[in-house]
Amino acid sequence: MTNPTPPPDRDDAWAKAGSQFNVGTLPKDAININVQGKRVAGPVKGFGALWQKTYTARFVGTKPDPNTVIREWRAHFGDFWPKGNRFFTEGSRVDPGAVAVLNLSPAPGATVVTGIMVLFADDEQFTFLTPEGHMFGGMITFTARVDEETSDTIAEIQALIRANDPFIELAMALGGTMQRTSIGRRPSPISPGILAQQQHRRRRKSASTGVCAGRKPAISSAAR
Amino acid sequence: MVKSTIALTVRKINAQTSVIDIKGDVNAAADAALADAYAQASGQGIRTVILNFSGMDYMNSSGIGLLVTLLVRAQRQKQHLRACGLSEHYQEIFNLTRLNEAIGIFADEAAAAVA
Repeated sequence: MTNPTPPPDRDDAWAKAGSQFNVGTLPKDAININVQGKRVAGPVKGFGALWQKTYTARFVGTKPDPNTVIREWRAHFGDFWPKGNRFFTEGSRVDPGAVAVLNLSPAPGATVVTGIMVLFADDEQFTFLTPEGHMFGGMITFTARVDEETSDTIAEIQALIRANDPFIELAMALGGTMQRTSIGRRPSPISPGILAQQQHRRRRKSASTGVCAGRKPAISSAAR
Repeated sequence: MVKSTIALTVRKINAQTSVIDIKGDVNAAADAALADAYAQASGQGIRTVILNFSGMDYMNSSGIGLLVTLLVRAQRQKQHLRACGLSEHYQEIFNLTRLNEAIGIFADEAAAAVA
Protein backbone atom coordinates (compact mmCIF):
# COMPACT_ATOMS: atom_id res chain seq x y z
CA MET A 1 0.00 0.00 0.00
CA THR A 2 1.38 3.36 -0.95
CA ASN A 3 0.83 6.59 0.83
CA PRO A 4 -1.36 9.08 -1.01
CA THR A 5 0.50 11.95 -2.62
CA PRO A 6 0.29 14.93 -0.29
CA PRO A 7 -1.37 18.01 -1.72
CA PRO A 8 1.08 20.60 -3.02
CA ASP A 9 2.09 23.22 -0.52
CA ARG A 10 0.51 26.46 -1.74
CA ASP A 11 3.41 28.42 -0.27
CA ASP A 12 5.68 26.75 -2.84
CA ALA A 13 4.15 29.03 -5.46
CA TRP A 14 6.09 31.95 -3.99
CA ALA A 15 9.71 32.82 -4.64
CA LYS A 16 11.86 31.81 -1.70
CA ALA A 17 12.72 34.29 1.03
CA GLY A 18 15.74 36.41 0.25
CA SER A 19 15.47 35.84 -3.48
CA GLN A 20 17.67 38.19 -5.47
CA PHE A 21 18.22 38.88 -9.13
CA ASN A 22 20.67 36.04 -9.62
CA VAL A 23 20.85 35.22 -13.29
CA GLY A 24 21.42 31.56 -14.11
CA THR A 25 23.09 30.07 -17.15
CA LEU A 26 21.72 31.66 -20.31
CA PRO A 27 22.19 31.01 -24.02
CA LYS A 28 25.33 32.58 -25.47
CA ASP A 29 23.37 35.06 -27.57
CA ALA A 30 21.73 36.60 -24.51
CA ILE A 31 23.00 40.04 -23.52
CA ASN A 32 23.25 39.81 -19.78
CA ILE A 33 23.88 43.17 -18.15
CA ASN A 34 21.91 45.38 -15.76
CA VAL A 35 20.26 42.47 -13.98
CA GLN A 36 22.69 40.39 -11.90
CA GLY A 37 22.67 41.36 -8.23
CA LYS A 38 19.97 43.99 -8.55
CA ARG A 39 17.37 44.49 -5.84
CA VAL A 40 13.66 44.27 -6.49
CA ALA A 41 11.93 47.51 -7.41
CA GLY A 42 8.38 46.78 -6.34
CA PRO A 43 5.33 48.92 -7.02
CA VAL A 44 5.53 50.65 -3.65
CA LYS A 45 8.48 52.94 -4.32
CA GLY A 46 9.32 54.91 -7.41
CA PHE A 47 9.26 58.30 -9.03
CA GLY A 48 5.76 58.53 -10.32
CA ALA A 49 2.17 57.63 -9.61
CA LEU A 50 1.02 54.05 -9.42
CA TRP A 51 -0.55 52.89 -12.66
CA GLN A 52 -2.82 49.90 -13.00
CA LYS A 53 -3.09 48.61 -16.53
CA THR A 54 -5.08 45.60 -17.62
CA TYR A 55 -4.78 43.88 -20.99
CA THR A 56 -7.06 41.02 -22.03
CA ALA A 57 -7.22 38.64 -24.95
CA ARG A 58 -10.24 36.47 -25.66
CA PHE A 59 -9.89 33.00 -27.15
CA VAL A 60 -12.12 32.51 -30.16
CA GLY A 61 -13.11 29.17 -31.60
CA THR A 62 -11.81 27.21 -28.65
CA LYS A 63 -12.41 27.25 -24.94
CA PRO A 64 -9.26 26.04 -23.25
CA ASP A 65 -9.36 25.48 -19.55
CA PRO A 66 -7.85 28.53 -17.78
CA ASN A 67 -5.34 26.35 -15.94
CA THR A 68 -4.22 24.93 -19.30
CA VAL A 69 -3.70 28.47 -20.58
CA ILE A 70 -1.54 29.33 -17.59
CA ARG A 71 0.41 26.08 -17.81
CA GLU A 72 1.19 26.64 -21.50
CA TRP A 73 1.89 30.32 -20.97
CA ARG A 74 4.42 29.48 -18.27
CA ALA A 75 6.02 26.73 -20.31
CA HIS A 76 6.36 28.78 -23.51
CA PHE A 77 6.50 32.33 -22.23
CA GLY A 78 9.65 33.15 -24.16
CA ASP A 79 7.97 32.16 -27.44
CA PHE A 80 5.27 34.84 -27.26
CA TRP A 81 7.41 37.94 -27.63
CA PRO A 82 7.26 40.26 -30.64
CA LYS A 83 10.00 39.92 -33.19
CA GLY A 84 13.29 41.41 -32.01
CA ASN A 85 12.46 40.98 -28.34
CA ARG A 86 13.91 38.04 -26.43
CA PHE A 87 13.13 36.51 -23.05
CA PHE A 88 15.91 34.38 -21.57
CA THR A 89 15.64 32.32 -18.42
CA GLU A 90 17.51 29.30 -17.24
CA GLY A 91 15.52 26.24 -18.21
CA SER A 92 13.14 28.51 -20.16
CA ARG A 93 10.32 27.99 -17.66
CA VAL A 94 8.49 30.49 -15.50
CA ASP A 95 8.97 29.05 -12.02
CA PRO A 96 8.91 30.76 -8.62
CA GLY A 97 12.14 32.63 -7.96
CA ALA A 98 13.40 32.31 -11.55
CA VAL A 99 15.16 35.33 -13.00
CA ALA A 100 14.85 36.18 -16.68
CA VAL A 101 16.87 38.57 -18.79
CA LEU A 102 15.00 40.60 -21.38
CA ASN A 103 16.66 41.86 -24.54
CA LEU A 104 14.23 44.36 -25.96
CA SER A 105 14.29 46.30 -29.18
CA PRO A 106 12.21 49.44 -28.71
CA ALA A 107 13.50 50.93 -31.96
CA PRO A 108 15.58 49.67 -34.88
CA GLY A 109 19.21 49.39 -33.83
CA ALA A 110 18.49 49.95 -30.16
CA THR A 111 18.62 47.26 -27.50
CA VAL A 112 17.37 47.59 -23.94
CA VAL A 113 18.54 44.98 -21.47
CA THR A 114 16.60 44.42 -18.28
CA GLY A 115 15.08 41.56 -16.35
CA ILE A 116 12.29 40.21 -14.20
CA MET A 117 11.97 37.86 -11.26
CA VAL A 118 9.12 35.38 -10.94
CA LEU A 119 7.52 36.31 -7.63
CA PHE A 120 4.69 33.82 -7.80
CA ALA A 121 3.60 31.01 -10.10
CA ASP A 122 0.91 28.36 -9.73
CA ASP A 123 -1.75 26.75 -11.92
CA GLU A 124 -3.92 29.87 -11.88
CA GLN A 125 -1.53 32.78 -12.31
CA PHE A 126 2.05 33.99 -12.31
CA THR A 127 3.60 37.30 -11.36
CA PHE A 128 6.82 39.11 -12.23
CA LEU A 129 8.72 41.76 -10.28
CA THR A 130 11.08 44.23 -11.90
CA PRO A 131 14.64 45.05 -10.76
CA GLU A 132 16.03 48.40 -9.76
CA GLY A 133 17.15 50.19 -12.91
CA HIS A 134 14.17 48.94 -14.89
CA MET A 135 12.15 51.68 -16.59
CA PHE A 136 9.41 51.10 -14.04
CA GLY A 137 9.06 49.37 -10.71
CA GLY A 138 6.18 47.04 -10.25
CA MET A 139 4.52 43.70 -10.51
CA ILE A 140 2.86 42.17 -13.54
CA THR A 141 0.35 39.35 -13.08
CA PHE A 142 -0.81 36.93 -15.78
CA THR A 143 -4.11 35.12 -15.24
CA ALA A 144 -6.79 33.31 -17.23
CA ARG A 145 -10.49 33.00 -16.54
CA VAL A 146 -13.80 32.06 -18.08
CA ASP A 147 -16.11 34.94 -19.02
CA GLU A 148 -19.32 34.24 -17.12
CA GLU A 149 -21.50 35.79 -19.82
CA THR A 150 -20.04 34.19 -22.93
CA SER A 151 -18.13 31.24 -21.40
CA ASP A 152 -15.15 32.33 -23.51
CA THR A 153 -11.71 31.86 -22.03
CA ILE A 154 -9.90 35.13 -21.42
CA ALA A 155 -6.20 35.62 -20.81
CA GLU A 156 -5.38 38.71 -18.78
CA ILE A 157 -2.28 40.69 -17.91
CA GLN A 158 -2.48 43.17 -15.07
CA ALA A 159 0.38 45.53 -14.32
CA LEU A 160 0.80 47.58 -11.16
CA ILE A 161 3.69 49.82 -12.09
CA ARG A 162 5.36 53.05 -11.11
CA ALA A 163 7.76 54.95 -13.34
CA ASN A 164 11.33 55.22 -12.13
CA ASP A 165 12.11 58.55 -13.80
CA PRO A 166 10.19 61.56 -15.13
CA PHE A 167 10.63 60.63 -18.77
CA ILE A 168 9.00 57.24 -18.32
CA GLU A 169 6.24 58.84 -16.26
CA LEU A 170 5.59 61.26 -19.08
CA ALA A 171 5.62 58.46 -21.63
CA MET A 172 3.14 56.48 -19.55
CA ALA A 173 0.86 59.48 -19.23
CA LEU A 174 0.99 59.95 -22.99
CA GLY A 175 0.11 56.35 -23.62
CA GLY A 176 3.60 55.11 -24.34
CA THR A 177 2.81 51.57 -23.38
CA MET A 178 2.12 50.10 -26.77
CA GLN A 179 5.34 48.12 -26.72
CA ARG A 180 4.18 46.31 -23.63
CA THR A 181 0.72 45.97 -25.11
CA SER A 182 2.24 43.97 -27.89
CA ILE A 183 3.24 41.20 -25.48
CA GLY A 184 0.76 38.43 -25.97
CA ARG A 185 -0.22 39.40 -29.48
CA ARG A 186 1.47 36.42 -31.00
CA PRO A 187 -0.71 33.36 -31.21
CA SER A 188 -0.45 30.69 -28.58
CA PRO A 189 0.65 27.22 -29.64
CA ILE A 190 -2.54 25.85 -28.13
CA SER A 191 -4.72 28.19 -30.15
CA PRO A 192 -3.06 28.86 -33.49
CA GLY A 193 -4.09 32.16 -34.90
CA ILE A 194 -6.98 32.77 -32.58
CA LEU A 195 -5.63 34.21 -29.38
CA ALA A 196 -5.82 37.94 -29.58
CA GLN A 197 -9.20 38.43 -31.19
CA GLN A 198 -10.12 41.03 -28.67
CA GLN A 199 -7.87 43.09 -26.55
CA HIS A 200 -8.55 46.08 -24.43
CA ARG A 201 -6.82 47.86 -21.70
CA ARG A 202 -7.79 49.73 -18.61
CA ARG A 203 -5.80 52.34 -16.85
CA ARG A 204 -6.04 53.64 -13.40
CA LYS A 205 -3.61 56.23 -12.25
CA SER A 206 -3.44 56.23 -8.49
CA ALA A 207 -1.31 59.14 -7.44
CA SER A 208 -0.02 58.70 -3.94
CA THR A 209 -1.28 62.13 -3.02
CA GLY A 210 -3.57 63.03 -5.82
CA VAL A 211 -6.58 62.13 -7.79
CA CYS A 212 -7.52 58.79 -9.21
CA ALA A 213 -8.28 59.13 -12.88
CA GLY A 214 -9.21 56.52 -15.37
CA ARG A 215 -10.16 55.82 -18.95
CA LYS A 216 -10.86 52.70 -20.87
CA PRO A 217 -9.87 53.09 -24.48
CA ALA A 218 -10.36 50.12 -26.71
CA ILE A 219 -7.50 49.22 -28.98
CA SER A 220 -7.67 47.17 -32.07
CA SER A 221 -6.84 43.54 -32.09
CA ALA A 222 -3.63 42.22 -33.51
CA ALA A 223 -4.57 38.63 -34.13
CA ARG A 224 -2.34 36.91 -36.58
CA MET B 1 -13.15 32.56 -11.72
CA VAL B 2 -11.50 32.46 -8.32
CA LYS B 3 -14.11 32.25 -5.56
CA SER B 4 -13.87 34.56 -2.59
CA THR B 5 -13.39 32.86 0.75
CA ILE B 6 -12.46 35.98 2.64
CA ALA B 7 -14.29 37.15 5.75
CA LEU B 8 -13.56 40.63 7.04
CA THR B 9 -14.52 42.28 10.30
CA VAL B 10 -13.98 45.95 10.99
CA ARG B 11 -13.40 47.21 14.54
CA LYS B 12 -12.63 50.66 15.86
CA ILE B 13 -10.26 50.34 18.81
CA ASN B 14 -9.87 54.04 19.58
CA ALA B 15 -10.70 57.42 18.08
CA GLN B 16 -7.86 57.27 15.59
CA THR B 17 -7.38 53.57 14.91
CA SER B 18 -9.40 50.87 13.20
CA VAL B 19 -8.64 47.20 12.70
CA ILE B 20 -9.64 44.95 9.81
CA ASP B 21 -9.59 41.30 10.84
CA ILE B 22 -8.87 39.15 7.80
CA LYS B 23 -9.91 35.50 7.63
CA GLY B 24 -9.70 33.10 4.71
CA ASP B 25 -7.89 33.67 1.42
CA VAL B 26 -6.71 37.01 0.07
CA ASN B 27 -6.83 36.81 -3.73
CA ALA B 28 -8.34 38.71 -6.64
CA ALA B 29 -11.84 37.73 -5.54
CA ALA B 30 -11.33 39.66 -2.30
CA ASP B 31 -11.05 43.01 -4.10
CA ALA B 32 -14.56 44.36 -3.44
CA ALA B 33 -14.78 43.03 0.11
CA LEU B 34 -11.42 44.52 1.04
CA ALA B 35 -12.31 47.88 -0.50
CA ASP B 36 -15.62 47.94 1.38
CA ALA B 37 -13.92 47.02 4.63
CA TYR B 38 -11.34 49.76 4.18
CA ALA B 39 -14.06 52.30 3.48
CA GLN B 40 -15.74 51.28 6.74
CA ALA B 41 -12.48 51.31 8.65
CA SER B 42 -11.28 54.69 7.46
CA GLY B 43 -14.02 56.87 8.85
CA GLN B 44 -13.69 60.39 10.15
CA GLY B 45 -10.75 60.96 12.47
CA ILE B 46 -9.06 57.65 11.68
CA ARG B 47 -5.31 58.02 11.23
CA THR B 48 -4.26 54.38 11.29
CA VAL B 49 -5.80 51.23 9.86
CA ILE B 50 -4.37 47.93 11.08
CA LEU B 51 -4.71 44.85 8.91
CA ASN B 52 -4.87 41.84 11.23
CA PHE B 53 -3.71 38.81 9.26
CA SER B 54 -3.73 36.33 12.15
CA GLY B 55 -6.79 34.55 10.72
CA MET B 56 -5.62 34.56 7.10
CA ASP B 57 -5.25 31.15 5.48
CA TYR B 58 -3.53 32.09 2.25
CA MET B 59 -2.60 34.98 0.01
CA ASN B 60 -1.50 34.87 -3.62
CA SER B 61 0.20 37.55 -5.69
CA SER B 62 -3.13 39.17 -6.59
CA GLY B 63 -3.60 39.63 -2.85
CA ILE B 64 -0.32 41.51 -2.70
CA GLY B 65 -1.61 43.66 -5.55
CA LEU B 66 -4.75 44.45 -3.55
CA LEU B 67 -2.61 45.57 -0.63
CA VAL B 68 -0.63 47.87 -2.92
CA THR B 69 -3.81 49.57 -4.12
CA LEU B 70 -5.07 49.75 -0.53
CA LEU B 71 -1.82 51.43 0.44
CA VAL B 72 -2.30 54.07 -2.25
CA ARG B 73 -5.80 54.72 -0.97
CA ALA B 74 -4.47 55.10 2.58
CA GLN B 75 -1.77 57.52 1.44
CA ARG B 76 -4.33 59.60 -0.42
CA GLN B 77 -6.36 59.85 2.77
CA LYS B 78 -3.20 60.61 4.79
CA GLN B 79 -3.65 57.46 6.84
CA HIS B 80 -1.12 54.90 7.99
CA LEU B 81 -1.53 51.25 7.05
CA ARG B 82 -0.05 48.67 9.43
CA ALA B 83 -0.02 44.90 9.48
CA CYS B 84 0.00 42.42 12.33
CA GLY B 85 -0.38 38.67 12.70
CA LEU B 86 1.56 37.87 9.54
CA SER B 87 3.24 34.48 9.50
CA GLU B 88 6.97 34.36 8.94
CA HIS B 89 6.34 33.28 5.36
CA TYR B 90 4.22 36.32 4.52
CA GLN B 91 6.59 38.65 6.36
CA GLU B 92 9.23 37.40 3.92
CA ILE B 93 6.90 38.10 1.01
CA PHE B 94 6.40 41.64 2.29
CA ASN B 95 10.19 42.00 2.45
CA LEU B 96 10.67 40.56 -1.02
CA THR B 97 8.14 42.89 -2.60
CA ARG B 98 9.34 45.78 -0.40
CA LEU B 99 5.80 46.24 0.86
CA ASN B 100 7.32 46.29 4.35
CA GLU B 101 8.89 49.67 3.50
CA ALA B 102 5.44 51.23 3.33
CA ILE B 103 3.28 49.03 5.57
CA GLY B 104 4.70 48.63 9.05
CA ILE B 105 4.75 45.03 10.28
CA PHE B 106 4.05 44.31 13.94
CA ALA B 107 3.80 41.16 15.97
CA ASP B 108 0.32 41.85 17.27
CA GLU B 109 -2.50 44.35 17.29
CA ALA B 110 -1.38 46.01 20.53
CA ALA B 111 2.08 46.73 19.16
CA ALA B 112 0.65 48.06 15.91
CA ALA B 113 -1.76 50.33 17.76
CA VAL B 114 0.87 52.05 19.90
CA ALA B 115 3.56 52.42 17.22
